[in-house]
Amino acid sequence: MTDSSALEGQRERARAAAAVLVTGVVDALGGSASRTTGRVEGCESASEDEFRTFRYTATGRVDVGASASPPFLDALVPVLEAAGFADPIPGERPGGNTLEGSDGDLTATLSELPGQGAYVLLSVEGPCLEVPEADRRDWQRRTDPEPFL
Amino acid sequence: MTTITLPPQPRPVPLLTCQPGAVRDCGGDLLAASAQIDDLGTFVAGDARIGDWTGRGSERYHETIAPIGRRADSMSLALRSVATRVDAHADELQRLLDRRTDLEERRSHLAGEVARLRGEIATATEDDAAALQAECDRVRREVEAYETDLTTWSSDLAAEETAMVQAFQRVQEAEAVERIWGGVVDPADAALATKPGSGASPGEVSTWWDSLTYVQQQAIITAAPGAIGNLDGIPAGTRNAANTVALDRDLANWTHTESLGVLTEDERTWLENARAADEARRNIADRVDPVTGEPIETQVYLYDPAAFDGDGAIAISAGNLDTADNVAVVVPGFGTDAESAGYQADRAATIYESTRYLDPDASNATMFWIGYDAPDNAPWDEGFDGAGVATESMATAGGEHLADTIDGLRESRDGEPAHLTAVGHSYGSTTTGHAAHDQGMEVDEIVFVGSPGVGGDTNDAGDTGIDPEHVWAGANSRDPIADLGNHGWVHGETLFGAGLGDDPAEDDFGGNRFEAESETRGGAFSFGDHSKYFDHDTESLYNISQIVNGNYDAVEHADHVYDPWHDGVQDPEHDRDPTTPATR
Repeated sequence: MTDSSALEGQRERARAAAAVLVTGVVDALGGSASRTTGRVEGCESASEDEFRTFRYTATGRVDVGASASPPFLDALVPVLEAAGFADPIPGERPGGNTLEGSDGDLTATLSELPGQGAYVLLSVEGPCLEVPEADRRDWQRRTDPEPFL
Repeated sequence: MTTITLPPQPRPVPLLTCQPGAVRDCGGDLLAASAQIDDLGTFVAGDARIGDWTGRGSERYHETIAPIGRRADSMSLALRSVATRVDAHADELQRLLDRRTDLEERRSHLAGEVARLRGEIATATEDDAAALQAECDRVRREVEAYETDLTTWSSDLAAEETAMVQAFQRVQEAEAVERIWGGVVDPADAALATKPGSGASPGEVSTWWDSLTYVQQQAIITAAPGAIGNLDGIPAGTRNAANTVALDRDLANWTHTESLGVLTEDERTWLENARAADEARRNIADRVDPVTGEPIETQVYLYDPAAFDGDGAIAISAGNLDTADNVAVVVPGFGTDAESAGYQADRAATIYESTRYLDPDASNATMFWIGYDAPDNAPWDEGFDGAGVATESMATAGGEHLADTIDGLRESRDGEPAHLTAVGHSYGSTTTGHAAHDQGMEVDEIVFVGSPGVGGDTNDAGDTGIDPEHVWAGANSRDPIADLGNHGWVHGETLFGAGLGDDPAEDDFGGNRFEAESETRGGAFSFGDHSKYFDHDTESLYNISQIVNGNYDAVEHADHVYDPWHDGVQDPEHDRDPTTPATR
């Protein structure tokens, strides 16, 4: 079990890393960023009312510029590496492709879905952390509407 | 030497800083305020009148309250008109933002083209001149078209802002409100007079709703949200609009009453339920669609904070119930009431995310449905004795509500019917079993997870009324609740006078069993394993999502539980190593 400060720290680092990544993706592909927000998400359920563990996930979307050509992820390896996510690994997801890298306990995933449109999705998240039982409800109710960028 | 004329640089697009979502929220608040004031008008016209009071005092009293009622009615109509305009303003701002994004991209592209041409001209030879001039002329025409569209965009923005300002100015003075709206009959009144009675079918309700004009429909949403918000047969989008007005109105009313220190005990319970509904819709709206990266759409399908003696009734969807290809309704079980809505919303959003992730080409909606009175005696609070005394009466009553809800969802949709799945968890599987067996619930798939039994009259998958090929069960081998159902010849109803029916994961039942083990399962029975079926990256969520999406070949089947006469109940899944299929 960890205290809640570990999750607070994860939030700060995930948002900061996501901001760097979104900026890097726009620099590399042009276009514009949107939906640059984050949230606390429950991982493992403890009962019908609450989660035992939580993690922070920061997400964003970049609609790439008109001059960018697919596959967009090919141009983003240096972006991940420059943000500290070393040795990105290409992968697949239903309907698309991913590029995933790690920086300490944070994982960054970039994905594109060619059949859906000319955009790149981004997420940065940490591992699931157990919080004190007394804090579970507070984390579950926690909102984080401010964009990180 | 030939002179080549470059196209002009495109003008920059002016900044537009606005949040259409915040503007829409403002419109919602105005609608809620309009509903509050309408309630005052209704009160003055009804309950505030005292029929058996006569004399001068009575005359003076009624003379005094009558104008208050009239002013309330006109103010309510005025606020409604502004709220409707604000909502339209939010839509228009979003369109203007989208157009601005397109213009910005065109400007960026054209600026690049001009820079490219300038570079090419600098190193061009005389032989290149004609071709370069033609290229410059082509880009010039594109710049001119861009400039025309930019001018149109700027004037559209100015016109929209002027129209919005005028809408506010019309109702700034009380006199103006009275002049415009005084004595105007609320269009909701005549429309509500034709509403079918309480026993009407969802089909009759749908026919009535479709017969109303747009103005009448909008008026009812604001003036009488309670009349349609929970009415089966009304489209989900309309129910959401009405329930949003009701929820925002209740939050404003009771929070204000609480601040005055005069909240009654009942009102305190209702306020807590309203806050739970508010938390639930935010929990979904704060998450993003894994395919588009956009916020997940929410619809408040059921909102009744006073239902079931204050336990409350709430159902909210992640995704659009009116248009989704695949719709799942999740029925929770033991210990759930309105206060569970926040967590149940997370579950619904998680299923939504998983179904979308696994099939990006299909549209989805997943709704948690706290629409029946579930048992309070949760086994994890009271031990197996608590579960032992659970009977089927609440599931029987709940099954009727659930079947009506499914009928309403089907009846109110236009176009292609949805592929519809009912997912019953825990005691919710008993309720789902009763909805299917007793009421003929019209779904395409039934999924029982963590089931303590699917009802005493449902002896096999065929008794649900749908093809057994479309009856599914998920049971974690460490889940003690999933072990409560009848096995082999042992039937709880006959032995103890209690029990909830057969285990749907058993071979005798005849349905499909899918893998539902958890990587974090314990070595023995644990109540914690009863709640993990909907967590991300679990076998259970993966398989439920494939069923909801109708991708049957992708479902990982598990061997059934069986109960040989010469031994105890056997679960082949007990010794299999769990997997963690990606669902996000």
